[in-house]
Amino acid sequence: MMTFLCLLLCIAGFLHFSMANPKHFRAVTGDEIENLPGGRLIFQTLAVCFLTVAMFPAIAGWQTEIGLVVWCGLLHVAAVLVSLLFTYQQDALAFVWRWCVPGGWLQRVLPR
Amino acid sequence: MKGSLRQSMTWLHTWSCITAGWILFAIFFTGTLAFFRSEITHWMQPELHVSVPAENSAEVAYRYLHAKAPGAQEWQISLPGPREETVSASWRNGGEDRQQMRSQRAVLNASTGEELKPRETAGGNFLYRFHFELYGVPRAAGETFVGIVSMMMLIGIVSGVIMHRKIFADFFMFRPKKKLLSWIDGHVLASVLALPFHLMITFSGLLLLGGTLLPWNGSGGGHGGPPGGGGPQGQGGPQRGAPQARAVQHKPAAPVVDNSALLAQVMARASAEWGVPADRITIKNPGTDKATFSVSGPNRVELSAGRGGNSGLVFNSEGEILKVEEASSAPNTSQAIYNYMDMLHQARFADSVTRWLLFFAGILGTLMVGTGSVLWVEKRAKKQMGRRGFELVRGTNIGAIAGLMVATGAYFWTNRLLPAELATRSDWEVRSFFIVWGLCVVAGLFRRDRKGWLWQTLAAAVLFTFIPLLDVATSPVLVPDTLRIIFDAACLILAALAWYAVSKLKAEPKSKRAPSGRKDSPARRRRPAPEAGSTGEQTA
Repeated sequence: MMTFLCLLLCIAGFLHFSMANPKHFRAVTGDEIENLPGGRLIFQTLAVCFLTVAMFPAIAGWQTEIGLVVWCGLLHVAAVLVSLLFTYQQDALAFVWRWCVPGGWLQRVLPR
Repeated sequence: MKGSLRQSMTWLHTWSCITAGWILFAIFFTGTLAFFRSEITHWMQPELHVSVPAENSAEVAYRYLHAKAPGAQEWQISLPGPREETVSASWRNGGEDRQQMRSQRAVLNASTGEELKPRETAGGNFLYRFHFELYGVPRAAGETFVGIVSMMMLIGIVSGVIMHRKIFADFFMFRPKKKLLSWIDGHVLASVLALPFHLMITFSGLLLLGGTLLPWNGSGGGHGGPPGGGGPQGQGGPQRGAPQARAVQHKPAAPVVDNSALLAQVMARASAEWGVPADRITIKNPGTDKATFSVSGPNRVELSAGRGGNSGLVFNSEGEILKVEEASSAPNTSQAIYNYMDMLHQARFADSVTRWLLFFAGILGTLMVGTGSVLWVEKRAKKQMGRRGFELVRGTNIGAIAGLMVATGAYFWTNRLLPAELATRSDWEVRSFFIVWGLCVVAGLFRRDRKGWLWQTLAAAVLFTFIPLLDVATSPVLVPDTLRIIFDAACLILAALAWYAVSKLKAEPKSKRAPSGRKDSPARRRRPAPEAGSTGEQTA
């Protein structure tokens, strides 16, 4: 359970990191990130928050030293998953971004 | 080496890695498989498959020792666990040398206590040892060589980071069906996404082999320490081959007290204390009313404590706690760092989740080295095709990368197909590995084009795909246990990677003539055209 939770948080973190990248943002949303003032910074901040919070389930499950190793290992898995989604399942990624993560919600409400 | 820093790093990255690329691939590949060393050895000894862990595994081992070594000074029982289906029993009479100690050990069926006689096999240990000391060369020379290529790997990683202009901009970028760009993206993805693991595994490997690279280190060094010690680990406790403290020779009387009923009680008490099941019991003065039971388990919470990081409980013959053996801790920071790296590299602490995570990262490392070697050829194909040096690298790449997978598959098949009673059968397993690998290298040199890759990758895919069937067909137990399932799953993952490569090798010439007719999604249509220079890679 802790593994799954940590992995989900890591995926959310990397998704926000990737969407802070103009190329990826344009590819998924068809929009320009420059149209969202402060958008990059917000997404990057959210990404850092998700990745940091992801540490806690791992530490709760494995204690600090081994938990950090598990967290690091799940970071690799999450990064590869996000990359594969970008390449082969962009529509699914666009859906997740739009409906499932705070970055996507903010994108709709942030002033342009 | 000239020009800007980035150009210099590109040159360094290319030449430090291509010269060591083939052996690095073998080290990464076999090292990654070695994360499942116990599972591989279990799979390669089908005689052990009949063992099923049971509640009374400790008691059956106790009864075996009671009958086999009644006068021993000490009994040790290793219980089945997540990586062991059998129970092993060993004993000490006091004063034996290491060779004798090894012979005083039996592997038992965990539910019946029947002594099992597994076939002789090189097992997962061959892959494990090959990845840091190679094979057929003196151990010190092998370790020194692996140490040198590890250093080249570390140089390659650091220079690779510096030479990459847009490491964050291209973090998730993979452009399939773009020939050279796809290879670059694949190499960058496998390298960058698992960069912390690559740095950790290379640096910790260097640290473990550090003693072999320091000529002024009189006692040598190496993985686990050479005879006589060496390396910081030596400070923590006795090393392999170190003079053993000779135990006082004394023969206790034959067992008069049956303590077997206590085993379940002390194990339950220890498990309740730690929250994890006990996995080892040492009984001193067995069968007497002075017997003590030392129980230990996988209750480590710190990596920096090193190999003595598990705590234990000692019980008397009444089942009361006599002593709590606290987990050791590193005496200083440098020892703690060494312990941390040692534990991480060898995954000594790892449960199944962590082991799979390390395996996954290891596969990324293997892909990084493999794609790097192929990329070198792809970048130079137009200009250097036909030149002797280029053709040598091009051909050897096939045997070193695809051929190694074929050889490993053949190694597993040989294990199951050779007669179990064959003399020196473990040598034949290893010979089959090197014969097949050698044949693949020669075949690769003769057939250096896409067909060469296709045939060898196809051979690897077929060998690994049918390993689960081979397992079922040649094991005395039809339904696989957890360890066999893990092994078979790892083989199927390798098979999937090989089949993916086969599909790409077969499909690519067609894509040259006619672009794929797949309907793009709206989001994909919006995606900008890839830019040739956007990866930040520079041609060396």
